[in-house]
Amino acid sequence: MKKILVVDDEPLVRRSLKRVLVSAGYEVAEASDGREGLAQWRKMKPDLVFLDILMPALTGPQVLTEIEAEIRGLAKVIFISAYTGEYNVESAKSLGADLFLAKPFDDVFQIVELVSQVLK
Amino acid sequence: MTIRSAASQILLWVGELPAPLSPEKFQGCELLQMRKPEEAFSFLGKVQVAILVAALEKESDSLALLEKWEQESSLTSLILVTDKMSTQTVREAVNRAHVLAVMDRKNIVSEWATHFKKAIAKYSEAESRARLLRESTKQFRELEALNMSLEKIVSERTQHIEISKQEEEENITKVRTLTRFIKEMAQVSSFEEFLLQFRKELRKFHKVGDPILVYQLFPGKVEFVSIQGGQIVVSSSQQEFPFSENSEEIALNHKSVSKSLANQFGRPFAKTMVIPIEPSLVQEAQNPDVKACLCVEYSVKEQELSSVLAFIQERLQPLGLTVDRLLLENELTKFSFRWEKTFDGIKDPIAIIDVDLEVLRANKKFSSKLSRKKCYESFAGRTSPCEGCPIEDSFKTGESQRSQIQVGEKIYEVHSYPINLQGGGKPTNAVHQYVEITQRRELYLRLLQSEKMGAIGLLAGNIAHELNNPLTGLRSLSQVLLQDTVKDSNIHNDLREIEKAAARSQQIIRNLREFSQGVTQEVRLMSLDDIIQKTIPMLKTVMRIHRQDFDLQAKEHLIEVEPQMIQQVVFNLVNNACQAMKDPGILTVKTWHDSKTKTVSMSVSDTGTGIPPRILEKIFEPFFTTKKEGLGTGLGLSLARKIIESYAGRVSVQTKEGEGSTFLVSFPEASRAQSEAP
Repeated sequence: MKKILVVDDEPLVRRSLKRVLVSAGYEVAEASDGREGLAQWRKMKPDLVFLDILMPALTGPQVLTEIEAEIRGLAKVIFISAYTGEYNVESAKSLGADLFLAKPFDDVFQIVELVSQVLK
Repeated sequence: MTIRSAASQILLWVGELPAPLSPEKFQGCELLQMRKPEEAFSFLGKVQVAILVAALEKESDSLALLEKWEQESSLTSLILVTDKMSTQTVREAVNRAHVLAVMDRKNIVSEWATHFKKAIAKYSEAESRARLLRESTKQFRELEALNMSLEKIVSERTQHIEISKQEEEENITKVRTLTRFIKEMAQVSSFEEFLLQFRKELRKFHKVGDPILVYQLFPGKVEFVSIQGGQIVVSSSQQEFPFSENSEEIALNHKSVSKSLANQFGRPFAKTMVIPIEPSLVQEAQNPDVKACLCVEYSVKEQELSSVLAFIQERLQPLGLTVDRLLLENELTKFSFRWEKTFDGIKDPIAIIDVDLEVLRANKKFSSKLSRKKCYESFAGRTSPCEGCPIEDSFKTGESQRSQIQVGEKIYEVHSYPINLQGGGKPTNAVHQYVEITQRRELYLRLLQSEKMGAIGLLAGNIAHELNNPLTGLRSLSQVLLQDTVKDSNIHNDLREIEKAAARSQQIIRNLREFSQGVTQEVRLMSLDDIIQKTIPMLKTVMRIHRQDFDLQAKEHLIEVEPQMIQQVVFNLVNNACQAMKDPGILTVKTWHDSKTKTVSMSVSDTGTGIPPRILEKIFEPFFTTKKEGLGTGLGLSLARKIIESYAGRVSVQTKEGEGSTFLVSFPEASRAQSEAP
């Protein structure tokens, strides 16, 4: 079973993502800020991480610089942000992520689709 | 005539025999008897003898005595007493001695009384006549002497008067010519006139050249004003002032002046007199370094030179005063010219205004006509003081004030500087500088607008982030739940509405952000209908009370624009339309496509008050606003027109007072092929 970590300070975002991903058959863990996310990442060693960019404690890009390379190497990273104007796939990739998603999502099931492709 | 008393009269009887008469026969006369004629002569000249009787024995002795006596004293009455009376004797006595009577000795006693009486009478008469003559002669003499001395005095006086009259006349002439000279000098208004006048004055002397005025205003530069061929020539040279003596004396053959003149005029100056000029007025008012002198070449002889010098010496003061005055006037004219030019050169209108708001002086920018009018009349064309003018505060406080006034479409910042032109405490006038700040204000408002928009953008960004997060959950969870519920069930339908509302919210946030970001977007092919639909949600609040009538018929026809800009146009037009209707009215927005003209058009109509004709032509001008302070920038329509015209569009307005207005916007239709090409 593939493991997914959702790091976001917005409970509704975590809850909705967990809901669809669990029903799609993934093991999902949550973290409500960057520091907790970093701890969870080390403990869980997920296959995919949804990482919000603007968060309390540590921002998404900061988490990426903190995480050990061998653990980071195991996972795909998707940046998610509500500041759609400031980030896109290119800027996300330059910050070390694999993908970028703007909030709000137009269709949450398309994300499930995307996840399955990424983890294939 | 008075007859002397007999007692004071003397009768001389000369004869060898005494007078054969009793004393009473002499009636009071003093009788002196003597024997010899010599004795009688001793009386001559000492005593006035009234009667002489010669009664000597020898008749010839008697006659000699009488004759001699008569010669010495003609007044005495003479009587001859003879022994032989004859005609011959009488004739001889009368002829020789003018004897009064000849008496026969024998007849003395009988005839005496008669002759004595006659003799006394004759003597008295003669004596009084003589006295009269003496008296009148004496008086005549005195009169003559008096007359003579009088004549002398008169002639002396006359002479004196004549001399002083001449002197006086000379003096008067001198004073007159001097007065005339002073008057002429007082009327002289230029160096040219001055030199010509002075030259005319010097003409009376031969061999005196044309005067040259030499002066300096500042050290190191000396000016020469001369007459050359009847023309005034002004030249200058960089040098020290050649005449440094501080005297009131005319200097002759001053070496350094002659040298300086020779250098300046390129010819030798042999004999030159230097007339010192003390320009104290200009020194005091302008510059203590101002110096001046007059130079005159001469070749007169020694004896004439002194009169030339005296002539000039007399005119030294008026000459000096005139040069001084001209220098000062020149400087003042220059100064005032410079000041006037400076004043007029300033791009801002400037005026000196008095307490009655009358313009004392103003530059050309203030008013092309110089008239003593109220400032608001000549500057703003008003009949009352401009609103917001700081002049009253300026006079009241005595300190400079500033504030803004509006004249027509221009906005001025008025700087009011109180000044005192009379040397008292309170300000008598104010200098007003009008700085036009219309442009500055335009820029300021534009900056304000862009800052406002920037702030809204930032705010919108934050709000979007804050709202986007819950919206993400809301929308995603709705979508999950929709999957879990039975289609067409009530819950399913409710969830669909929630999901749609979340989607709409998301769209509004996105529009708001795009609109406010102000980031230049690319020109794109857009449907005007889409742009309007994106904009309308942001205007819900202003549109709320009005009935909305949307008829959008141009969805398939695209225009090539920056969508965000057109959103701004739509926003402004709809916002204006709604604000034009104070009471609930009808807002109509229509779009259509005209295949003939190949245009896509939009109309925005209201049922408001309409636009009065007098302001209709101004509504597209920047900063023209009828809205209350703070509600409008006056930029909306001008910005709208600018945007529309930048995409080759047109905007026009139709209005009817009391019924409403319609703004018509049209853009050229863009063909898809055209834009797909690179």
